[in-house]
Amino acid sequence: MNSNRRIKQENQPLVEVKDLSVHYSTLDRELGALRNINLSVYPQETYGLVGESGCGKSTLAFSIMNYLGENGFVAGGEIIFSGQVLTEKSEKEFRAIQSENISMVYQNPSSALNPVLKIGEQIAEIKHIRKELSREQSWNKAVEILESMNIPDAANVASRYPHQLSGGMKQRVCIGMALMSEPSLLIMDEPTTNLDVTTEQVILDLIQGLKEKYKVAIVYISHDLGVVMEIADRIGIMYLGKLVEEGSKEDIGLRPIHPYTRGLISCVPEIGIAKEDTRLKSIPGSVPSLTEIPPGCVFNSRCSFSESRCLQDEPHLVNYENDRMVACWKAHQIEEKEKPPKQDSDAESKRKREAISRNGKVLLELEDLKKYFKNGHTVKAVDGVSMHLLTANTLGVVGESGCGKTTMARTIIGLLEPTGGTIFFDGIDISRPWYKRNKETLNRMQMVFQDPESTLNPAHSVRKIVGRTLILKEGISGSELEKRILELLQKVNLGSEFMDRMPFQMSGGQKQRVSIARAFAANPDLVICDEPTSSLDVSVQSSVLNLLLDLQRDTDTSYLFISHDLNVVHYLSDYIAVTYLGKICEVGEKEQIFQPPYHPYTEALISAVPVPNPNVKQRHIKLKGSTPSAINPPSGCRFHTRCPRKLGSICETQKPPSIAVTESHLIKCHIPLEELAKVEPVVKVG
Amino acid sequence: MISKKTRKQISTYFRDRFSRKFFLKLRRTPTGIFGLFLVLLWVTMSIFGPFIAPYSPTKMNMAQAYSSPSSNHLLGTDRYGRDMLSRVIIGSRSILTTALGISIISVFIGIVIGFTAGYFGGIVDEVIMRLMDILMSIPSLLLAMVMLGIIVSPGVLSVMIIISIVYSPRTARVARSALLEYKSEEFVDAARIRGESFFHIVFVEIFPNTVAPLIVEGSARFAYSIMTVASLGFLGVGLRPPTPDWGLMVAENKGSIFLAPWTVIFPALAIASLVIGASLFAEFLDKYLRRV
Repeated sequence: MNSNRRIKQENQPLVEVKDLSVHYSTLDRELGALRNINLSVYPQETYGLVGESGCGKSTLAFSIMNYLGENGFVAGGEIIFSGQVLTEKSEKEFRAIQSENISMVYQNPSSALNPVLKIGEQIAEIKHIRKELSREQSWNKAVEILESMNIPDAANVASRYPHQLSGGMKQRVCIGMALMSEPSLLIMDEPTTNLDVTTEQVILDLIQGLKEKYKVAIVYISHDLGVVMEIADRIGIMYLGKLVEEGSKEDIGLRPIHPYTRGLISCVPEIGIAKEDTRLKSIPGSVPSLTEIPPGCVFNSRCSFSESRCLQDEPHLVNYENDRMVACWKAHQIEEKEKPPKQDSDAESKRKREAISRNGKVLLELEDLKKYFKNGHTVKAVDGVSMHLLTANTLGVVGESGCGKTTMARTIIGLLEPTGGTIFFDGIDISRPWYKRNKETLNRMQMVFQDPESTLNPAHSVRKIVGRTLILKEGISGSELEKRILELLQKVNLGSEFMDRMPFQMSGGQKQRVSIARAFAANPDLVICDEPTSSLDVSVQSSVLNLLLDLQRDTDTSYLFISHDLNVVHYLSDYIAVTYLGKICEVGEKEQIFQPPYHPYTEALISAVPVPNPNVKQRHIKLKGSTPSAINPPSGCRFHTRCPRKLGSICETQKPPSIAVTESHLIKCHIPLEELAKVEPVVKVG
Repeated sequence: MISKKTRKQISTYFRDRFSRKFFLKLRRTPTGIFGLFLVLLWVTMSIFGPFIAPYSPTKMNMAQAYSSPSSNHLLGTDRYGRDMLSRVIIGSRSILTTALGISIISVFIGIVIGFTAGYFGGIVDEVIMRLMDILMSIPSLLLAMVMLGIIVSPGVLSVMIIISIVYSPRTARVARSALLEYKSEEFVDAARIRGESFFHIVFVEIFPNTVAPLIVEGSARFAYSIMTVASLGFLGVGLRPPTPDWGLMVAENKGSIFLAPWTVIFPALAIASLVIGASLFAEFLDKYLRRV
């Protein structure tokens, strides 16, 4: 922070956005996507821009890049880049300045690269098109830049095509390409959102190093406060096209002031927080659409501190203290209140859980479950998974993309036919697809899907979506059906006004609630949740998680909860299974998973979880490469190609044995238990 | 099969799609307005034709034969002295009903074939769609002529059905791709694990979502079928004289094209205007429905 102050004092800002407003014109009106934004980015600093989807982060980036598209335009204010007012320049001049000095890295590296050009050509053309270097020189320069992106065997990678590289590799190429023109400002729009956590960690480390080497200022845009905390010097929080708070990362992380920032921080399950310890905070409602921006403070509809003044006058971003800007009328009152103490542990649910784990009966049991896809070659998506789930318990399944989590869920629910192994549900063998299962089994097992946009039929109303299960199962109709639907909606905290809504009239969180109501309409014993919150905004995610917990407490339903987010899984589960390439590498009670002995993969996963708290010390473990393809999985231990603790040839040739740490905690690894137990914990608080 | 509630839902669905935005969008699309204007013009003619037409379309008046356009006969008369204006106006009725019938029947056949192929996939899909490809590889006019030739005296209904069959590979492709777009959606999976039947999944869950592309395809078929029906009329297969059919009119008078060009030009213009109008409007519908 001191270095940051020094930078500020010594330098003029590199980019200054003054009172910027950007509008989009639509069929029937103009929408204000950005309203009166003021911010400065200084040379060589990293400025993090955080907010949920639809808050205007990308619009801000695109207005600096002059890429607003057909219907977007600057409606007021100016953008000043090292003394030059960009917004007053002609298109041509703007472009000249921008192409010399500003580069951008996009969210999706696959669509940012041209599929028909070799990697090296794409990077090299930046130099030789401008005739700065000859074709050969620029190719060499491209290889050089790839090397500095920590790409192994860069000369070889340069002569490959984009489809031959993994996502993380492509993003590194994109970053290299952006740095080829030696810009003084680099804008990164969610560069790691599409990547797995372990890859994300590698990219974040890379960006940290590049800042020193290339002396660029970075504007880092993300919805994930944890990621931004790791990388930014200063952070700006955006909400509905306004900057609501700005400060150093320590200030934002430890003393958030604006109620929205406070909400964003407290609604993410912190590492090591579990459902027995505390209930997640959530911000009520969801981000309003641009067509219904509330008058006064933009956040008033969701703010617990809101008073009459907030409904009328719009607060502006004002200096709160040194280097700290807040747009809130009640900033001083809020600051005085200390962070509310964490709630007492939920003693009741703890006791209940202990009782269940003692006398719990096995509800779902998988024995060597296999699902292969044959399409020319065999893809072993799920390859011999054995585990069990007790009644009224939650089993969390965690792993990176491509680990077969979703395939496993779809096989259990019956959408796919198992290739081998057995699924026992309440003692009955149900290893067959849905159309060969009986009605009762179908009803007792329900599923909550991942994508709220696709989970509800766009042509059906909520009444029909929720009611259909009731009609099928109980054969009720008329006023009784109506009553039951209302009850179910109430259970998921939706009012009666939702009865006749169509899916397009609802937000993502509301759709996911309807989907949960649909699952619970059958009064199931088991609900399989396949990443139900991963496409929701963080503030909405916590309320959906709370809802799932409440429903479980009331109905004693078991959950099989699948997620890539270790924090969420830890918060919600009783037991956790860590999967890698179709196999389980560690399974146990959640406390056991988060403490040594770890499986080396679990260790790496925990180390890669972004933590939005500067006080938490985390040991970072860099994994080599990316998840290998399931078509030709590595022999022996599947993790050996990336394992930082690999013993030697034994890992490559022999399948790892199951080590039973305790009765319920299994690790599949060649490393002796004593060695694993000596590993230091990855996360330390304090 | 369709319950009252389903009907209500489908109507809400349409209300949302054909709301204020539809007209806002239409206002910004001059070609769309022009197309709609032409189609509505001929629809009006076909409904109120008998009141608008100054003469009977079949009444002969040899004394007035081949009279050029004048205040008495705005579009002139043909070799039997029949009023061209009245013939063109009354002729719109048969072509519009035939075209409408063809677009509905061909989309219906397409739904049955395309949904079956798309839902079951695999070998069923292969066999059905390759058969459709074979059907499509024969020029549509030729195929229609051959099939009509088999029937001794084709009436309006047989013309409609035969052209619909000729068009069915195209509508089946559209229906199949529309179904495939939704087949792997999560709400279909949700229906499966509820234990729903094939008919429920296809017609209650998927069908309402495919209505938009099917409407677009139907309106495109409407435009094409006008052309095909008129061509068949011109070639003398299909409808027989003295029906005031536009294609037939052109064919009847093609011998006197130099003597009395109006007898050919005006029916031809009528065909062109209706085809252009229907195509422009279909194009607008496509753009609009695809965006919603």
